[in-house]
Amino acid sequence: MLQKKICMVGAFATGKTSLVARFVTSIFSEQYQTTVGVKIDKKTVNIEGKELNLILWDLHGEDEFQKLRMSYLRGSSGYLLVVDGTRHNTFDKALELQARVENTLGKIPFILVMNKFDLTEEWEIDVNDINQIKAKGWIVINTSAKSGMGVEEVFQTIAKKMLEG
Amino acid sequence: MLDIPAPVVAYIINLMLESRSLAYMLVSKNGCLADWGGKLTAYGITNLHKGENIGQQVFFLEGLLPLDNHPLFLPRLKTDYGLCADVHLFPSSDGDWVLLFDATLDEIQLSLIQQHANDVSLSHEKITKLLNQSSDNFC
Repeated sequence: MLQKKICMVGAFATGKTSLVARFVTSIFSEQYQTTVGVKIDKKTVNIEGKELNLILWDLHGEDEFQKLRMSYLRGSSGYLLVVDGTRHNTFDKALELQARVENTLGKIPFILVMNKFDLTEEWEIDVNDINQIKAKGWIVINTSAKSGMGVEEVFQTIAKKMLEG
Repeated sequence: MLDIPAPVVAYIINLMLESRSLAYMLVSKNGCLADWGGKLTAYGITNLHKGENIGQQVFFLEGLLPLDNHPLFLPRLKTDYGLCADVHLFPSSDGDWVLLFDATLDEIQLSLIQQHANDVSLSHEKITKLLNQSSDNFC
């Protein structure tokens, strides 16, 4: 079966692990548990009648102590840049990481995932920031790992992009 | 290269086998499994078939091989099927070697430290946000 590797990239505590758990097992946990190293899952999806195995690499979030290890990215066909919409610094970190990932992997499909959209009253990302990003041709999708909103759409979209690519 | 006496080499190998659950696979440059051994079942790797594509048999190796003449190190790699592993990949004339070592203890210790550091950072961010909001309200 055709297989594609996808990396989850972003600052710490943005919900990368929760997004994968929601997508793979339909489970959400309120308790924040940090990822150390990388956790790998897989899920088979059907894209326009074609079966595709997604190999999901949930990388540890970057912070001042733990830098993203580029060796984890090898062989990726796409990546998801995950932002916690209630923390503006995670948006800045995503932009910084995108440049580093593109420098390592070249231009491959990716999506900017604005997670925690169930917490809109605490939202810190300005609409103008998002419009500027979209103007560059980036795909931006709002998600909530808690409610499940947008999660399926993110993975379906990246899968389609990878098959086109 | 260091001239290491045979008994020392044997001791180190035994140590790796016993305490760090050494396992290995050899993958030919066309991506097919050529050989394997050690404690692969500890990492959830079973039912291997010689001559078949490695990515279809060991899903976390999808996309990683063949190597381009440089070794690769993937620390603390986990799946739902086995131990947390430090994965070392290096090329040879026979193909690419994949070594797995148990990294469970390392992962547990680092998790405790990292969890604490991240919790502190999140609390600090929250307090800063609240202070900024209250100073905005005050102004």
